[in-house]
Amino acid sequence: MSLQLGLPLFLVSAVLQSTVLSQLRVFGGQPDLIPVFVIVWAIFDQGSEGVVWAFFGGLFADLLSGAPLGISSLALMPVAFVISLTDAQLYRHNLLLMLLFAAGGALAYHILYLLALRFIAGQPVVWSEAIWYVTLPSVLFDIVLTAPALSILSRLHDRLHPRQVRL
Amino acid sequence: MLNTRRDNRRVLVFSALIIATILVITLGRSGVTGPVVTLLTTPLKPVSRLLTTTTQSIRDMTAERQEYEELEAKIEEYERIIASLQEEVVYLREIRRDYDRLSGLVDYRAQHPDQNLVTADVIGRDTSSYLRWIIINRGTRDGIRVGHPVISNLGLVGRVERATAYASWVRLANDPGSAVNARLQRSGAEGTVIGQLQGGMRMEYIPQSELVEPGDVVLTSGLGGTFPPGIVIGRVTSVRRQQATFFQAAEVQSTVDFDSLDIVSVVTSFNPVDPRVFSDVLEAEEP
Repeated sequence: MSLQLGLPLFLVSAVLQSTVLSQLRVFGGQPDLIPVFVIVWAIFDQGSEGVVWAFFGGLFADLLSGAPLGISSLALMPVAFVISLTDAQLYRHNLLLMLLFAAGGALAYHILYLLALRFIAGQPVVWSEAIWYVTLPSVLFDIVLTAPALSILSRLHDRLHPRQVRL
Repeated sequence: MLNTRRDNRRVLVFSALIIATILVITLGRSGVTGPVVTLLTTPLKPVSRLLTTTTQSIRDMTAERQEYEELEAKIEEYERIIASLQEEVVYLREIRRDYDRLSGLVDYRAQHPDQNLVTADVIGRDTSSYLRWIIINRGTRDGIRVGHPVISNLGLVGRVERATAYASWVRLANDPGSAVNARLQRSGAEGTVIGQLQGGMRMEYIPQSELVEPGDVVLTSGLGGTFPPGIVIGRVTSVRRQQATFFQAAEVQSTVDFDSLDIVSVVTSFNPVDPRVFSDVLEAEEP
C-alpha cells in the first residue's frame, strides 16, 4: 500500500476510532479499527508492508490517546511480523481460518499492549479485570470487524498488487 | 293581394294567441287549470329530479375535487410546518441542555470567585479501551497547563495530563491511573478516590474508625494542591469493611456521566488549601 493511500486511511481510522467507535463500548470492549486493518493487511501481504503499517497505524492510534506515543506500534509490530512469516497460502482462501488468525492476532496485540501499558507507561493494570472486561469483548468486536475488512482489503490488495503469471 | 292575405293571417293568429293567453291567465287565476297543470307536470318530475340531482352531483364533485385539492395542499403545508417545528424543538432542546450545563458552570464560577475557568468542547475520546481519557479543544494558547483540574456542571471530570497549543488530553477521574484526594461531606473522613477499569470509582484508605454509609457525598479534599477543595466527586453506593485491615473502602458513583460529556471547564487557577491549617498538628507533634 502506498504512503499516499495508507497514511490518510490510518488517519481517518484513528479519528473514527476516537470519535465514533470509542462510544460503542460493550462491557469495556470496543472495535479496534487500526489493529484489525494492520492484521488483515499482514495476512494478505507477505512482505514487510504489514510491519510498516503496524508502525504508522500504531502512531496514529497513539496520537489520539493518553498512552505514550509508540506503545500501540510496539504492540502491533510483532503481531504483523509473525503473521508475515506464516505461509498465508495455507489459509488465505478459508474465511474461518482467516478469522481465527485475525482473532489470535488481535488477542496477541491486546496482551502486548497491556504489557507495554503496565511496564512502559506505568499504568496500573488489574490483569483479570482487564482481560475479562476489556480484552475479550474487544477481540469479539474485532472478529466481527474482520469479516468486512477482509473483503475490502482483499480487493484493495489485489488491485495494488496484481498477481503475475509467468507463461 | 297575396301579401295582404298573409298579413291578415298573421294578425289573426296573433290576436287568437293573445286571447288564448288572457284566457289561460284568467282560468289559471280562477284555479281551473290546476288539474291540467298537475296532469302535465307529473311525468316530468322524475326526469327533472334526475337531471337536477345529476347536475348537482357533478357540481358537488367539482367542488369536492377542488376542496380536496385545497385540503391536500393544506395538509402538505401543515406537514412542512410540523417538520420545521419538530426540527426547531430538537434545536431548542439542545440549546436548553447547553444552557443548563453552562448556567451550572456560571453558578460554580459565581460561588468560587477565586477560580478561573476555561470552557471547552470534548472533541474525542481515547482510542484505547484500557484508558479513559478525553480530548478537549482548548490548549496552552487558552491558558491551559498540565495538572489543571477539569470539572462539569455536575462535578469533577478529571485532570489535564497533556496540553498542546490547541488541544488538551484529560485523564478522567474514573481512569484506572487516576487518584484524587477526597473527603466525605458528612463525616469529614478522608481517603483517595481511584478510578476502576470498569468505569466506576473506589474511595480507599478511609480509616476504620470512620462511619461511612451509602448515600454519603464525596468531595475533593484539596489536599496535595492538585484540586480545589469541595468539588463533588460522587456518592457512596456501598462500603467494604475488613476487620484485618487499617482502612475501609467505598464504591463511589460519579455524579458526572463520563460517557456523554460534551462541555467541560478547565480550572486554570484556584487557591489551594492553605497548608497553615496543618501547623497546629505539626506543632502538637513536635517534642
